[in-house]
Order: sequence, then C-alpha cells, then structure tokens
Amino acid sequence: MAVLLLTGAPVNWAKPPKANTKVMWSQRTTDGKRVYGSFRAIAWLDWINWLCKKKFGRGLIVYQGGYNTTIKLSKGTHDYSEVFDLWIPGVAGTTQRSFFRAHGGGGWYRYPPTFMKHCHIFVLPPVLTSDVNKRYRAALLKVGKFIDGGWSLYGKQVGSSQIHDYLVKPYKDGLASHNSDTTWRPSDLNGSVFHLADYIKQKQAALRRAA
Amino acid sequence: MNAANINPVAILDQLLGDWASPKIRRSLHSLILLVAFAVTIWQAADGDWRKAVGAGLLALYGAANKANTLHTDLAAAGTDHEADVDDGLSYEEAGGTEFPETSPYEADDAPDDPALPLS
Repeated sequence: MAVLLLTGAPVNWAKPPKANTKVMWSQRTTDGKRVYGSFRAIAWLDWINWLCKKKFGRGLIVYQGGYNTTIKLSKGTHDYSEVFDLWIPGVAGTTQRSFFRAHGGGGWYRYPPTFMKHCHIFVLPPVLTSDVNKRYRAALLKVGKFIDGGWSLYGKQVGSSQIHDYLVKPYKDGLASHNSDTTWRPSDLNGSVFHLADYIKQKQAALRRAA
Repeated sequence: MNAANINPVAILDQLLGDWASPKIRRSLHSLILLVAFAVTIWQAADGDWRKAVGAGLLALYGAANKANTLHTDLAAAGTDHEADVDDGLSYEEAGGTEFPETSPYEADDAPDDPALPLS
C-alpha cells in the first residue's frame, strides 16, 4: 500500500508534503470510496496497516475515511481529516482497539446492537498538552467539530469533543451520552503518539535499502 | 488565523464557519470557482459565445479527466492481506509495541450486523 497525492502519484518520501496536505491511500473503502486524510493521517494509516500485517498477518480494511459527509451518524466527526472507521478481519474488536490505541490512535470499538462492528479511530495530534481540544488546531490539522469540540474549524468550543472523552480522566465513550469508559489505554498516552518525521525517515531508509 | 491558512478558500471557510456546514461550504467554493471560470473563458473568447462554449467544454472535459484519472490504480478494500512484509524488519523494529490482546468484556462474540450504521 502507498500514500498518494490527489493526482494518484505516490508521495515522494525524499520530499514529502506538509503534514496537513490532503492526500489519499492506495486502497479504497469497503464501499469503493477513496480514503482521504491529511498526509499525517494517511501516513499513520499506512504505518498501522504495515504493523497490522506484521502483528496479525493481515492488513486492515477501511469502512470510512476522512472528508466524508455521506453517513448521517458520522456527521461532525468524519467531515474532515484524522478520523477512520477501521476493521482488522479475524481479530477480536477489543484487541484491535488496544492495538490502535497503543500506536497513536484514539477512539473506541463500536459494536451491535447500536453499530456494526468497527473501530472508530482518530489519529492523535502530535503534541498532547494541557488543553487537548486545541492540539489539532495548533498542528494546523482540521478535524470534524465533534472530534475537538470545534477548535480546529472555528477557533472556539462549539460542541462536545471525542478527543477530550478519550484523553481526559474520567474517560468517556465518545458518544452523545458520554458514558464512562474503563477500557484499556496506554499508561503513557504521550508516548503512544505517532511521529510523522520518524516514519518519513523509516520510509527513506527503506527506499535506500531497496535501491 | 495561522500562516498556513492565508488563502482565499481558507479565509472564506473561516468566515462561513459559524453557520455553514462543510457540504454547503464546498458547494459555495465550487460555485465561485465555476463563475470565475466562466468569466475567464468569456474574456478569453472576447465575448464570442461560440468560441466560449467550445473552450469551456474543452476545459471542463480536461478538468474532469484530470480529477478522475489517477496515476495509480486504487486497490479494493481487503486485498492487502499478504502476511509477509518482506523488508527484514520485525514488528518491534517497525515501531510496534505491546498491548493487551484480550479483554474481559464486551461483545466480541456477538454476531456482526452490517446493516447497522458506522459511527
């Protein structure tokens, strides 16, 4: 799999785009749509898919990517970047939720009778300091208003925030009811954050090895 | 407004942010682009509508073709399950860390229902 520019040309890892440049993944969603996101988000997806194959012997599938407004219940979350609905076929939902959380993904395992089985995951911003709602805006990344409460879009709080529910104790479930969530999170949430610069270096090293 | 957002589309987005949904904003941007495009073609054709129609159709075809013809074919979902990632790196060397692989609760054994919605 590869990270592609909007023209479909593969990203040049020697001269990568900015972290917030809109790009896409080389695999479609299960309903045939393109998987869009920021370069940072799609690079994370590419990395997590690579790790997924090493850990579970299979790649993941994307039910829904970013920049999608066609699903009513996802309104305010998937409208912009950094958010995916993911699934690793054949792996327990609770296990894959922990896998994503351990590697820079925040979010929850959703399952019947409310949802079809999937992991609703947002790529955590590069820095997690005091006011987590402002971290995407600080990194120039745009997310749906219910991901960061609206800070990245409007510069102010306009709604509830899933990143707050995920990162700030007492942890919540990210749904409208904001119920308590006691499921596993990494003990060092800062340490779980995805570092784009490191991944770029890893890709550059792989290209050198292949050359 | 941050430095990266100093472009007309981003400024318009900020202005419209409080009342317009992303869909409406995209539609508005598209409308502005279409009007600007029509004016440009009209001026380029010196007001001759026959020349303008031809040039406009050609430009629209070119833009649509460029937008829909990708340099790389996109793979269908679920077609990337090969187990061997033959790059010589282990899971840990690739950045993988440990995590709990089982959990004492939740509906792991419940059958899935694809008719249910996503979140």
